[in-house]
Amino acid sequence: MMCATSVPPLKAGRFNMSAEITTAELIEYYARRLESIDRDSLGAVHGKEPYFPMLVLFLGEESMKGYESISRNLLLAWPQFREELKFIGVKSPSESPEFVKLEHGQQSPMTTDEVAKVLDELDDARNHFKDYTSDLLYYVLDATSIQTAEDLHAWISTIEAVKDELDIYENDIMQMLFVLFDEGKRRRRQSRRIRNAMSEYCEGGANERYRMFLLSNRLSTSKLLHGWDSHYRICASLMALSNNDDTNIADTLFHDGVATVSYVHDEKPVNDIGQVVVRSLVDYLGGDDEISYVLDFEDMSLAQRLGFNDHGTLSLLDDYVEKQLVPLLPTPEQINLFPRWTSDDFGDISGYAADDLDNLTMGTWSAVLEGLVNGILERVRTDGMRRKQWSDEYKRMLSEEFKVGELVSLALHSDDIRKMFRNASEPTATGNVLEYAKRKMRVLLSSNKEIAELFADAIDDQARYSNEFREVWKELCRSTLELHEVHDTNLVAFYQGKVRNYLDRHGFELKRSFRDVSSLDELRKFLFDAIDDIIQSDPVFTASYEDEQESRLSRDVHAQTAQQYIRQKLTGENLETYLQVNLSLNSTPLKSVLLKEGTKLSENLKHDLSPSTYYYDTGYGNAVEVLNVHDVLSQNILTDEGR
Amino acid sequence: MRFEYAPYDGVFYATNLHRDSRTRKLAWEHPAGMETLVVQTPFGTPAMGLLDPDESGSSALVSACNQNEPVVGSYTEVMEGVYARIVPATEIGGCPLNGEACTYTVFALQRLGDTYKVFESRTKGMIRAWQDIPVEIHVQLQKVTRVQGRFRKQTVDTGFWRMSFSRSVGEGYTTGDLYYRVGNIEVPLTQDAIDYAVGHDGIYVKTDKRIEVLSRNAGIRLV
Repeated sequence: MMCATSVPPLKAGRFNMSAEITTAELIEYYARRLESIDRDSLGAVHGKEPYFPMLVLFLGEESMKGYESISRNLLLAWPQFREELKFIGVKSPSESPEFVKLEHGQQSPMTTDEVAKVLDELDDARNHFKDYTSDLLYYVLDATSIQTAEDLHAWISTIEAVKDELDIYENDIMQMLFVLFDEGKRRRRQSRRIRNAMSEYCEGGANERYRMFLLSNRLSTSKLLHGWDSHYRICASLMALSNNDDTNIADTLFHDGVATVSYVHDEKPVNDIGQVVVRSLVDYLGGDDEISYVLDFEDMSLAQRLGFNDHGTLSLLDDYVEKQLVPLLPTPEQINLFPRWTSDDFGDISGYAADDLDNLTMGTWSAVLEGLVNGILERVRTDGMRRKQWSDEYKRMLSEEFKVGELVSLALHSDDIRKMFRNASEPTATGNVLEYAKRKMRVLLSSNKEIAELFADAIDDQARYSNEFREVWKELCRSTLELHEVHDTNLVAFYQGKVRNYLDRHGFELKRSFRDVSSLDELRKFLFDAIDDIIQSDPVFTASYEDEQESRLSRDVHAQTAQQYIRQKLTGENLETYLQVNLSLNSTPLKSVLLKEGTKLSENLKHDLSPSTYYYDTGYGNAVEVLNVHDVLSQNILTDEGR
Repeated sequence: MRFEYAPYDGVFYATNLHRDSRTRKLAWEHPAGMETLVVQTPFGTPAMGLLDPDESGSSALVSACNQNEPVVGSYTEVMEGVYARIVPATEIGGCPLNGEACTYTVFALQRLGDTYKVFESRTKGMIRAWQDIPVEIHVQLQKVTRVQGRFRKQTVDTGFWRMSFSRSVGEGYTTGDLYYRVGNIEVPLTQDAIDYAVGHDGIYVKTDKRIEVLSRNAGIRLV
């Protein structure tokens, strides 16, 4: 999809050229808005909440890389607990561990005392947990750099050292360890060593204190996953499930021994939809040849486009003359009081031609007219508000009349434009005196040097502004090249159509508002508001995961129904186990689905899935996860090699 | 020629400007053989203020002279309502006025190549380089009547007032310096109207209301 350029906005030079706005930022905004709208729908602001205070400890530098993803996933379910969930890193295995504070996406060293203070904060009565009798400690260990069984044991000893250092009693806590297990081909030997070491913890063997979840990047189907994204999501989901007022679920999950999971996740393709929406919007606002179009200065209609009427005066000032000056003109009765060189009675002289009246009154008529205009010019000279209003109004007119490229080239003809203000044609003095007066005042005002300069400066400002705006807009368009193309043609066509529908109804109005944008902040706000407006324009944008699929897939007559499609995605071969094992995993103590309760999908799944399935209300309707917990026995992971 | 500001100098000076009661021309004192610049301004505003440099060092009068160069022998409007004339050392018998109801100021000039230095003037007691030239004008208002009837013995009102002036105002007059009030309006008097009235026994205003002629220029005293 190509991105074109834009129509010109209003005011002058307030774009900070070092700052920018990108399509990625706009897509991110789109996704965050949908999250927030989804939370407010169905009358429920939140899903289930964490029951006990909890602390997540990341063991080692590699593990700390998961902080951002895990905290983000937790906060997706519990956004209201942003300040109450605590995350701490432990730098390396040691008897005297060094701690790292992980907060608001930042890392900083922290002392043992500071960690102890964090533990106190967990139990702060002002928090919103339901039960303070236990604290939940979750440990995340990325085992990528672990080479031997000793390395693994060192980390497990470090967990004990942390608790000793902080004087934590076992009875006050419940614990869970996640081991992210790299089983790429070049790590076969280490894998076997760690599996064997882990087997010692199976069935509560060497450790009766906490549950260990072994999450490999090699799935039961032998597929190898790159990166830990889904593992982090699993960790967050297990934390959510286990921090639960349902004691059966909590007991199951905190039971000692080793376990793994089978897991599948699907979500509304919010980012892909956001990309289609943002690109369509930017394309529309950009227009076709806005930026490269060069002004043809020989074009006869140029004066008209610059706001000059057939008589060469500015229409904008003509309006002012009509409203402000014409009412000041002398009335016919007053004209009859002008001096005359003769006492011959000619009757009513207010109907005379201007020349004749001037002749009869010895220039009095012209003097009165000039006095009026001079008075107004003096008033304009000292009235900053009026000058600004004219300047702004004229800039707005220019932005509606000219494309960005044309405005930029106007600046190259600054002198010619200034001459145009002196081209007003003098009215013929043979017409009716009051009609003549109106036209004469237009000429006097429009050709006044100071006023002409005001408008010529407005053109210069607008040209300069357009140039700056063009650069910012080009940068925004360029940033679309950094996005991966959305390959789902159904999705692209569906949402392009939705945005087109919106623009058919509101495009004109949108472009008008766009022209009032005068700074980078205003541009950002304008685009955010436009995205909000698009989201509100069709219910499909805010529809839940399954409703969105249903609306979109129903367009394709050969497609499966959304329900079939979703069911297939969440079950069967898509539900993969995150560990390759010997023999089979016999025990599945927990089958769970994490989704927003009260949605059509939750009702359908309850109808289709096993009655023993546990449903966890995430309060977030744009995603669904199926997570089954399997006990791992030593025979499942014990190998002969590498011991 | 280019004009430049120069501070007061005891050598190049012009002062004691006055109107010679015999010739009715302007006269002043200055060293022999020196050129001078006579400047006419609106009544009550001597041109010294225009020559004084501002904070940036530029003089409004000097800038005006550089844009509209004054010449010998006649007055040139160098800026709106301000006229200037160069008086050469050879000109004797004083400098003619460019109208009354205004103020005249004289400055010493020094020619250096194609540059004129304009020297600041100084006032000492009653001896000063400027002079207000007020004018007194007698205004007369009279109802215009005509006689009618078979024996032309009946005098009737024509509905006109005649307005007459004892003398003209000359250059430097600005339209509206004199005006008349009738009913709720004020009508400016142009120089053409005043000159016509002086030359033709008056001008006319058609009204049955009372007319009052007034001056906005302190240099024009209506009597």
